[in-house]
Amino acid sequence: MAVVECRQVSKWYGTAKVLDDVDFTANEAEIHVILGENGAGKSTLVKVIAGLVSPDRGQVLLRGAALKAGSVAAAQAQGVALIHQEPRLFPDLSVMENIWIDQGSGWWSRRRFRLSRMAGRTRELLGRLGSSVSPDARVAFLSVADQQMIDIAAALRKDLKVLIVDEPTASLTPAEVGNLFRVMRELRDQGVAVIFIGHRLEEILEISDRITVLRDGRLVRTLSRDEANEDELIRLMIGRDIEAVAHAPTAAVGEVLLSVRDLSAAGHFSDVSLDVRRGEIVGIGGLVGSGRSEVLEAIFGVRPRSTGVVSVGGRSIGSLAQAVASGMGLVPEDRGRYGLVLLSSVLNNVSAPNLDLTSRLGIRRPRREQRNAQDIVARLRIRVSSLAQLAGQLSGGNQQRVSLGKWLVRDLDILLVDEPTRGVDIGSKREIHGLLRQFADSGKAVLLVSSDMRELLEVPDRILVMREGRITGGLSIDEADEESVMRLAAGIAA
Amino acid sequence: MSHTHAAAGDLVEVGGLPWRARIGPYLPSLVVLVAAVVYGSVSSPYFLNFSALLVNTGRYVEIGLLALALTVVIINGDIDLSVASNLAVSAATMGLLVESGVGIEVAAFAALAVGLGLGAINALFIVGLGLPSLVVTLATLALYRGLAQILLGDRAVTGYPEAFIGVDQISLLGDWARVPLPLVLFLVVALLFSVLLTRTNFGLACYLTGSNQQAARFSGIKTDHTRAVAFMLCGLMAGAAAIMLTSRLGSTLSNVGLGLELLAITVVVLGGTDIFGGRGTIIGTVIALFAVMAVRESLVISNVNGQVQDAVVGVILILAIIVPLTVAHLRERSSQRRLR
Repeated sequence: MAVVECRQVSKWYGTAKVLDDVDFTANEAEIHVILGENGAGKSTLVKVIAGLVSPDRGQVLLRGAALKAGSVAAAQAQGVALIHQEPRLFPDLSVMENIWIDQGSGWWSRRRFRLSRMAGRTRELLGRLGSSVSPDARVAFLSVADQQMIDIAAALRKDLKVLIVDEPTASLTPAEVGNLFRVMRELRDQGVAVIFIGHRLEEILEISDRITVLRDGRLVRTLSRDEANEDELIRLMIGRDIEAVAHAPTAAVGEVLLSVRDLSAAGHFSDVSLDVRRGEIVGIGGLVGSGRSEVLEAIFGVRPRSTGVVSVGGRSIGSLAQAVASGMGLVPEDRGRYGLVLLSSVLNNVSAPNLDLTSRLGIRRPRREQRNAQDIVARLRIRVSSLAQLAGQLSGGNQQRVSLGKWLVRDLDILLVDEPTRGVDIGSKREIHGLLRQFADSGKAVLLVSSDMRELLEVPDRILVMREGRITGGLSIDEADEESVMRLAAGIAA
Repeated sequence: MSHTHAAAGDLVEVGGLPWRARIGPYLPSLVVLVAAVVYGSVSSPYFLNFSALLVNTGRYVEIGLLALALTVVIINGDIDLSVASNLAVSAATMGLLVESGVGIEVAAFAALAVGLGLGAINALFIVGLGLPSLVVTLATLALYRGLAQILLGDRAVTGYPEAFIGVDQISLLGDWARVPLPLVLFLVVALLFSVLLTRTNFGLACYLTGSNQQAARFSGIKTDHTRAVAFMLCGLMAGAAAIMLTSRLGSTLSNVGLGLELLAITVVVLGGTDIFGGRGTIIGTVIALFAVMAVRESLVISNVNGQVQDAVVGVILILAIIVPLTVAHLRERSSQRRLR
């Protein structure tokens, strides 16, 4: 039976049509995956269902009854819960407080709010999800996976009919993904309609009962899992075929360009030494929290070092200014916080690291800045309405391209990239991989941090693995496979 | 331009903001300006005496100078509450030097140097030690004012040379349009600040820093340097305002310019600068200065007393922030209803 029914739902943001006559149904007791490139309208569609966004045309029926458009409360009353990619919790409150945060505010309901009983119920809810966090733990100290479980626990409190999970697995470890999927399956078996937005095709094929593909705001097709395979899904998603980056070990690897010796940052990592040669992509694998991002930041000079030397072409690099001057660029993992100024224009974002090239005596030269930005937009095929568009208005994949592209304006030698394809659609993903390969092949060096196992095994020429702040081993691309990387990352002897 | 783009085919447009978004930030101050002028001319036939109005601008130029520099500081995401106290120390230094026989030129230069120096001390604490600017400048607000009191005690310094006193009485363009010199100086400085924000690397660095300091830093912008320079500019403008104010008053007391920082911040915020940083313009600040001036002058001419004037300015500031937000909210709701 259809629990969620979207009828001819359309939505514009300004002049951009993000949803175009979408007819979407999710049945009870199924896991329904929504798939599509960034900007295809997936998040908008689920927000319409959850009442966060009111459609400009069309309507949503929940169990046959029309949903009051744009009312989160009405959707919640119908048993709809939306779990965001980054859980929206109150970091300074406890787990229990977060779960019961919307427990009425009237005098009567507050009287009934008995802490001791709530702690028990909280534990029971978390137990159903296989989570062992203490109800008293402060949310700020929990992992993203635990936070997602708290979000789901809060949803389970009520009579849950529709669980929507928006791109949850990007920041989870394989074990955490496994647990999430187990929970999703259990809820499905209890009759809940689970709507799941995902990117990793292997995952999707594993978990889904049905798959709906969106492209440019339109529903392309809904297919059952038996009809689906990876190539078909990619074709439906992007409307054309894209070749994976064929891994061709580089013929000409040149001299050492970036050299790091005994680098440490107190509390994050210690004694990291590595070399990256011209023409080479070096990958860094490891679990989230093993210190990989911090290493990149310390090399780039945005994180204080306690000891160690970083040198480029033999010259020692001490500060961020020197790092940029020596031809280094960093594409950070969190593009909204560190990679881009979201409230500023695409033009300004591209110009920011390149002002030394475009200005004379500190005076900006707008024509040059515009030419550079136009060049990057064309080269990286960034979808923008104009250069004056705010970076925050772009889709994730396009934001990532701007974050990367702003460095490509310069004649860069070393690119430090941290999770360059997280939350990015598969088309963008392969194009970004292609750009990195092309960059390295032109005699430059790339240091790539990735939690995406396929990316880590396909893109780099060799792999270093970190565990708990130390490099635990190096693997050539021929000897590296999922198992050997995980052994080093988890510290299991071969 | 657009022609060459079309020819190039795949080049994306440079683009710009629609006019409504461009004019939006100035709307509150423009409305206040027009309302005050209408009110003033209705309540008194003398209000729209153009040359009298122009002469009165001299009294607002000091606030204007502080507001210009504060615009930069606030765009950076910081605040400087100590500007008026800084002004007092600069003025006191100048007064003491003149009393001890130093030439007025040297004394005025010293006022600028002291202003700059005190701004640099703010920067040292805020940028160097990473303390919040609100707290640091709240402390130096008291500290600098106290310093001025230590320097001058209860005395009034009066020994300024005749030639230095009365800069606001000097006017350009003769009798038919008496444009006071301070107004001209203010507009020139405003133009310089506008160029600084819109045409220089420093300006872009300010906007990016105020919008997202971490992302700006990760893009290689020297955010510390940018913020420190803004505080020093603020100090420099406090010194300049001290010279103007002293010339206008002809004497210096330790309580000179008391409370001017709040008026200056009012002007900046009314002018559409986001108090949380990242957005704002010099033109907005200039318009807002004239708006506040028109409000005050129209209240003066209809015999409203000083305390009530302060209250009115406060109410206008609140309305200037609330009304546009409410209008935007209502517009969004009505457009949603229409589409449904």
